[in-house]
Amino acid sequence: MSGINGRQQIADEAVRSVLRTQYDGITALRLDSPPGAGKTGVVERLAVQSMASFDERCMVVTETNEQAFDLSRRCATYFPKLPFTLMVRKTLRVPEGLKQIPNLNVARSSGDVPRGPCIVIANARKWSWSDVGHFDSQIIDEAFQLPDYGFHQVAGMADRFVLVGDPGQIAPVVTCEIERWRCDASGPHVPAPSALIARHPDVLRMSLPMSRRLVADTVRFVQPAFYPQLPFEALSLDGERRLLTRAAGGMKLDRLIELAEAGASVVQVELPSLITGEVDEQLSDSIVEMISRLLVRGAFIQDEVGERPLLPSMIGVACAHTSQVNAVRERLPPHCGDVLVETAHRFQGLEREVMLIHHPLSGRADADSFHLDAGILCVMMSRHRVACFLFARSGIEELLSRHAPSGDRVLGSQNDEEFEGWRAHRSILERLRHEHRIIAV
Amino acid sequence: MAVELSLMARLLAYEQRCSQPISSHRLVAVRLDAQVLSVLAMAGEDTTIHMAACGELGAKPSLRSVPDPRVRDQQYQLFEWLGKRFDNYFRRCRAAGTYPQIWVSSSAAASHLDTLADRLRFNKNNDEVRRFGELLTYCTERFPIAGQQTLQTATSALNLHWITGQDQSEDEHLLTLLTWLDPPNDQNLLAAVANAERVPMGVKTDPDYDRDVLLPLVISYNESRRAGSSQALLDAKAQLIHNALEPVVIPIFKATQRAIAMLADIARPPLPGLRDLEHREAEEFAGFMEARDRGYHLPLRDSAKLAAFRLTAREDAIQNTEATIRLGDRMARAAGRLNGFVVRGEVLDRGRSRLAPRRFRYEFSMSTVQRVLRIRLRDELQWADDPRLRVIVTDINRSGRRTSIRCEILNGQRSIGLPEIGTVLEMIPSTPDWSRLIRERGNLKAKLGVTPWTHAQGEIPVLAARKAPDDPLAAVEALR
Repeated sequence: MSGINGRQQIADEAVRSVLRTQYDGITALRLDSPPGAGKTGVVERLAVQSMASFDERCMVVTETNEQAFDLSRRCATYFPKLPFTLMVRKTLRVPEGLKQIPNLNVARSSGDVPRGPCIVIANARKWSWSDVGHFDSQIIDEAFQLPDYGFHQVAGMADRFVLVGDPGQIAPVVTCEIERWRCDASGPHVPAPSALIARHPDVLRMSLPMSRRLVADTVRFVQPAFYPQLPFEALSLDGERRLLTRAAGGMKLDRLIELAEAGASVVQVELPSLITGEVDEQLSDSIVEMISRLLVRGAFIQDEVGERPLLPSMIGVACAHTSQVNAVRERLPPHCGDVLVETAHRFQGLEREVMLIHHPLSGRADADSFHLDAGILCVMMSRHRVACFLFARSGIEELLSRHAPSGDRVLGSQNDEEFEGWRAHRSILERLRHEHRIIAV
Repeated sequence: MAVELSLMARLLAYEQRCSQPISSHRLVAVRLDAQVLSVLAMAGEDTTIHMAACGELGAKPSLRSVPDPRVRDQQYQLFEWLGKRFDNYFRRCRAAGTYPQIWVSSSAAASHLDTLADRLRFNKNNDEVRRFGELLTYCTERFPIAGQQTLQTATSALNLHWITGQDQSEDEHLLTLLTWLDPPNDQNLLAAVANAERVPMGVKTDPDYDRDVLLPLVISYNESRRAGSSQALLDAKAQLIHNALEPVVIPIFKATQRAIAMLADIARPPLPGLRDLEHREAEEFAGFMEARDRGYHLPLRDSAKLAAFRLTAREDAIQNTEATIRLGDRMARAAGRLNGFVVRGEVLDRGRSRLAPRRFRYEFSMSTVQRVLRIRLRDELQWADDPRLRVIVTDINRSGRRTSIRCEILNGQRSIGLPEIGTVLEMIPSTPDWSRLIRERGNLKAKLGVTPWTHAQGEIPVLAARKAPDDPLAAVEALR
């Protein structure tokens, strides 16, 4: 089953298996999903199955309000014959577009939530403060962003659980000191799915086998570096999805575009070595120049659907720091206002045809745990459907050699996040170097 | 503190060979009845106290040592002595409705007390030692909580107010830090710092000193003890050990006192929200003592429920402390502008539109040239000068280095009204909410009253199976 139909069948079969667990009376399921594997689609289907097929009350938990808005919009649009409820706090502004969807009810108090079979979507915080009765099933979207103490506050509200998430992404944001729980694999700061497995190793684990977003070339980089325990493939065939241009170019950055046209979905631009700190003006200039080159050369996307021109809204720029985001934003010409420039944290769950990345380790004199974080680089390198251009100062390999992981291990814990990040960074760089995809400009 | 500010201040301090102030206010409370505690552990024995120096602010220390802390009974006597002092102090604070404050030299000392507390509070042989462990636990469990005022390390407290020209990790040595803060007139600063570094300021004696001075004395004492020597001889040998430890612990105690005096005499007003932080401290202390009276256990490891309570309290403390400092301290506000948490902009236009006969929408736009901004659509902001004015961000437009932010007023349109055109506003994401933790705890109590199976040990419940259709995916897709 190597053709597109065969791969689609594998992907569909995985979804069928997930849906079947709910008939089998599986109390809890941890569903690991690689980037762009259609986990939100699975969440939608699980919710719809629970309400429409089982006559159940189903609660869907997201991490943020924005995710709840997005999921509500998708559910109500894709299943226009079914009713959905978005639960938010009284004073929260809901986007106007959501209010116009006829089968989406916005609940601001417990009285607005249906008593019978229903699908109610809200963020974890809202759920933890609500008193809207008991639910039959609970589906947690982006579950790896939910710390266990957040899950604990909603876990008593349902009988059955499905925790869907991407294990390679950025860990939950817990700002306080957590030394007290570092050796506890089920500590309150640990992502909910990991803590659940630590407490109950018998909980059923499944995974989605295909990434619909990433192309095969990218999967060859991303999977071994960030998902050594989660094998997956690309749904699209080699060369099926491409970035092409209508005009030739002779500038330095055009060499990278040509590499991408030749099928290299991940390439790295390397500027001369320099310690710049967080903001690298020259690198930001190069990122904006690359966007201009793509648009000036009439870049277009060729994929399963056909051909379409690359528009600014199809381009994303991901940075590690807000200051870098602003450095890029302020350089964008007016016609590029739709280019999405954001930090890796805010890029979670989003995708663009082409991504430009400010490498987290670029221009740094040290490699601390934040900049080595595998989750940040993983998010950055898994948002594109077609091509990803990494921008960095040279010298990252030397930096990684100088700053080998400190080996600060915690008794009773098998995790070494710093080492995992270091290993992932090295793996990506070695592969890029080996395949001659690093171009100095 | 924004990286740029602290880096600039550090470079300036290095260039001028003098520490630089990094706060406009005093950010920690200095209680007049605070206790200063300096302890020395025996090398290789992390749960011991070889000598303790304890005293009030500005007072001479009371000293107590044991010849060999590995001898349990002797060690317990020292713990009992310390425990009694703690107990009396805690009782006085409780009676006065305040909270205890213990000062140590550095985080190494705080960490040592943490290890001791974990060990001693489970002591089954001696009630007084266990009580001392419990009281110590209160201090060490407060220590990681943002804005706490109970267990203060002199190095951290000083570092909140001044920055030196040395590496941040070197600031953990109290005497070098004090040398930067108060450089000697007659000596090169870096030479003075190098000299200061040679003085032990943590909880351990110098290894050479251990080997050459302390070890022979302890061996000699133990030989006499095992040989059944007279009490007079043992006392004499114990005194020799005491005399050897005293010159090590006294400089630590004095340096800690000096640091506190610098903070108490600092020519900066106390942070406006410091009283709230102290009030929170007193509440937490009262709760802890009440739990002691009721005999509640202090576990070594947290259950999922307790961990949820604790983590929630820590997150709340961070939010409130950051908001308090950002609101009250000018340097923190400047750092907020640099790292984008505070938005400073000029009001460009303002307007009122009618939504219904008696409903209006009040809006204004502000323009900022801040390079770093951490705002996005639907964020809620408050005016730093009068937080009653609360707005929601309805649009953000960036053009080159200028960003225009459209805001709609949510609160304060009557009390404060629309800001005048040309006014410069500083908007902050939040102000302290001192009642939030009470609400959070109440909610957690209700939500976690019954522990779900997901967070308890035991079997996973079994649910009844249903008959599945041949193709469950098709069944769902048919509902589109």
